[in-house]
Amino acid sequence: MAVAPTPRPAGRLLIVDDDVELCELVRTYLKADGLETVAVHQADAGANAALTGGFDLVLLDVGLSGQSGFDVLRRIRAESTIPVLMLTARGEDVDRIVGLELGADDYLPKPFNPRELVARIHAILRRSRPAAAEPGMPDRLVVADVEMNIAARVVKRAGEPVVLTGVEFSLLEVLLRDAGKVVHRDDLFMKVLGRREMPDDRSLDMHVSNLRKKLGHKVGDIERIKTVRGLGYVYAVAN
Amino acid sequence: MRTLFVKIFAWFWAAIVLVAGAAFLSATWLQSRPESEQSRLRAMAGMFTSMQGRSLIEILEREGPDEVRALFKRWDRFPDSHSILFDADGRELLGCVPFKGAVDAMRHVLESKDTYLIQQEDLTIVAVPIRGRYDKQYVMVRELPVAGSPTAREVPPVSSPPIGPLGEVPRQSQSPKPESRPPPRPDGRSPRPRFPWDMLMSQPEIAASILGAVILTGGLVCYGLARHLTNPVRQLRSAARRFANGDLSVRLGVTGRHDEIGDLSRDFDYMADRLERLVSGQRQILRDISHELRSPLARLTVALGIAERGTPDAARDALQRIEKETLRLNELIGQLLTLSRLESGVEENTYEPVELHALIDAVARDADFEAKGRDRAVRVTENAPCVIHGSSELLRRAIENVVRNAVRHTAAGTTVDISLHRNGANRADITVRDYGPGIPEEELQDVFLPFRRGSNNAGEAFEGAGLGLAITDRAVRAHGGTVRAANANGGGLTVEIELPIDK
Repeated sequence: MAVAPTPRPAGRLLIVDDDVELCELVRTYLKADGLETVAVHQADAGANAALTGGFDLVLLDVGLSGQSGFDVLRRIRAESTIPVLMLTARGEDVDRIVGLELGADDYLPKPFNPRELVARIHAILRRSRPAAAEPGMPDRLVVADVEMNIAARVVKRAGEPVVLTGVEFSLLEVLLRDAGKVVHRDDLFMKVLGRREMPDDRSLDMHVSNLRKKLGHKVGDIERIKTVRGLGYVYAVAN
Repeated sequence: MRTLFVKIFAWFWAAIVLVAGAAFLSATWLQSRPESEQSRLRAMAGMFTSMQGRSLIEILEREGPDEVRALFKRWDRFPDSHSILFDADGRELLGCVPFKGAVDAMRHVLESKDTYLIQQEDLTIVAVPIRGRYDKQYVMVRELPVAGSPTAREVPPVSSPPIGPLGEVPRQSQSPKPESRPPPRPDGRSPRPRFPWDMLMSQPEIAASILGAVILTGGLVCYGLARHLTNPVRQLRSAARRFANGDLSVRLGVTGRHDEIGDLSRDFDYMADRLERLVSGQRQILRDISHELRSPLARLTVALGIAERGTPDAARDALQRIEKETLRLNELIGQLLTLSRLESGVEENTYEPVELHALIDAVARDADFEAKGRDRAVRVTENAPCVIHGSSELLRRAIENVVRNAVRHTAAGTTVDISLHRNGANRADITVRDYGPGIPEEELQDVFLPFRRGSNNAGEAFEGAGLGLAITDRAVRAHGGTVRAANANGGGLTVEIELPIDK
C-alpha cells in the first residue's frame, strides 16, 4: 500500500507518549512525509502543549501510565476541537470506547504500521481543513433546525452554535447532504474516517452517538439520526 | 420450601409447643399426686389416729365404754372432730351416731385391713384397723378438717391423744400410701377438682386460649430466631454467588455480629479481599506483559517502516534498532519464563551446594567486562567463602540482575561495589552498591514488583525489561532469603540480599 503521493498537507503534530524511543522513531518516520512532530512524554505537559494551538493534530497514547492518557484527552476536549488520534497500546476495547466517547477522532492500536499511521494522519488533516472550493457542492446546508456552513465550519441548531469536533462535523456533513436517505456504513467510514471498518470497530457508532448528544436525539418527535441495522444511518427529514 | 429458615422455624416451634405441653402435663400429674406436705400430714393423721385408737381400745377393754364416752365428751370441745369405734363385725361400740361416710370407711378397712383415707372438699375421713387384746379387731374412724381449710387451724385434730408409746404404731400406717385408689364418689363429683387438667377438661375455652397463646408466642419467637439465624446465611449465599459471577468487590461488611455466623461473614470478606487482590494482580501482570511485549513491537514496526523507505544511513540505524528491539523481546520472554517458573514454585530437589563466592566472582567478571565498554566498572570488595544449598542458576540470575541494574544506573566513571559478607554462622549478606542517582524513597519498596521501572532520581525512565529485580526477589525468597533496596549515604542505590546458610 503506497502512501498517496498527491498534495501532502504538511502539518505540525504533537505526540504524547511515554515511550521516548518510539516517539523518536515516529518523528523520524513522519519527517519524510513532511510532517513536523514534537514529542512530549508527560501527561500534564502534553495537555498544555496541545492547548497552545500550535498543532494540527495530537497523537495521544492513552495507555500513558495509568489513566492519565484519558485525563489529557478530557482536558483537551474541554477547551479545544483539535483532532486527536489515540494510540491504544493495550488493545482493550474499553480504552477505545472511552477514548472515542471522550471525543477522540479516531484510534490506532499499537503496534501500528507506520504507513497506516500516516494515512490516518492525512485523513484527519484533510478533513479538518476547510474544503474551500469543492466544485458542485453547496457550501451551506439547512435541514430542519440544523444549519451548517461548510466553508466557515460552523453548525447551528435552532440558531445556537454547536461545537463539533472535526470528525463529527464531517459525519454530519455527509449525513446532511444525503438527508432522508440511508448512508451506508462503508461510505461513512471512507468519507468520514478515511479508512475501512476494522474488526470490532465501534468508532463510527461512537461518533454518531456523540453527534446525537450534541444535537439532541429528536427533531420534533422523530428520531434525528436513525440507525438502519446492518446498513448504516439516515438523517431524518420532516415529511 | 426445604429451606433452613423453614426447618429452624418449624423445629423450634414444634419444640416449644411440645415442651409447653409436656410441662403442662407433668405439672398436672405432679399436682394430682399429694404434695409432699399434704402427704406427710396424712401419714401423721393415720399414725396418730391409730395411736389414739389403740389407747381408746385399751380404755374400752379395761374400763368399759363409759370411760371412753367421758373421754369423747372432753374431746367434743372440738366440734369438727368425731371419732367412732367399730368392732370387727362393724358394730358401733359406743352408742354414737356414725357421721356421713363413717360406715363406708369402716367397711373399706375391714376389707383391706389397711389404713383408709378419703379427702373431701373440707373434710378428711381417716379409718384405721386396730388390734386389741387377744387379737381382737376394731376399726376407728375419725373425721378431720382438711389442712388449709378455714377450720383447720382451730382444730389440731391429731395432737390431743397423749396416750400410747410411739413405737407401737401399727406397721401398715407407717408407710403412707393411704390415698391410693380412692373410690369414685357416688355423687359423680371429682374428688380432686382443683387439678389443672381437670379444670381444663371442664373448661375447654381456657384450654384453647392457653394453647393458642403458647403456639402464638412460640411462633413469634421461632420466627425471630429463624430469621436471625438464616438472614446472614442468605446474604452470605447471595454474596458468594455474585462473587462467583465475577463481582470481586462483594463484601458483607458485618461488624455487629460476634457469633460463628459473624465470624464466617468476616472470613468471607477476608477471602474475597485476598482473592480480589490476587486476581487483579494477575490481571495487572497480564496487561503489563502484553504492554511490555507490544512496546518493543511498536518500535520494531516503525523502525521497519523507516528501513523500508529511508536513505541507506537511516536504514542502517533502523536495522540496528530492530536488532536491539528483537534482543529486548527475547530477553523479556526469557525473563517471563523464569519468573513464571519461580511463581509456580522451585523444584528443591534440584538444589545442590553452590559456592556463593565463586558465583560472585563470575558475575562480577562478566559485568565488569560489559561495564568497561561504557566507562564504568564492577569490583568485588569483600568475598567471604560461603557455600549454600540452592539452585546455582537461579542464584546467579538473582545476583546478576542486581549487578546489571547497578551498572545501568551508576554514573559514568564510577565503580559498582559487590561484597559477600559472612554474617554469623548461618547468614550470607550480598551487598551491591552503585553510585547513580538512587530511587525516590516512595518507590523503593516497589522496585521488586514486575514492570515497576518507575523513574530514577534523575527523572529518567529505567531501561530493561522491568523483570530483573522481580526475578531476583522471587529467586531469593525461594532460597529462604530476603532482598532490600535502600538509598545509600552519599548517593546511589544499595541492594542487600540476605541468604540463610544451611549447616
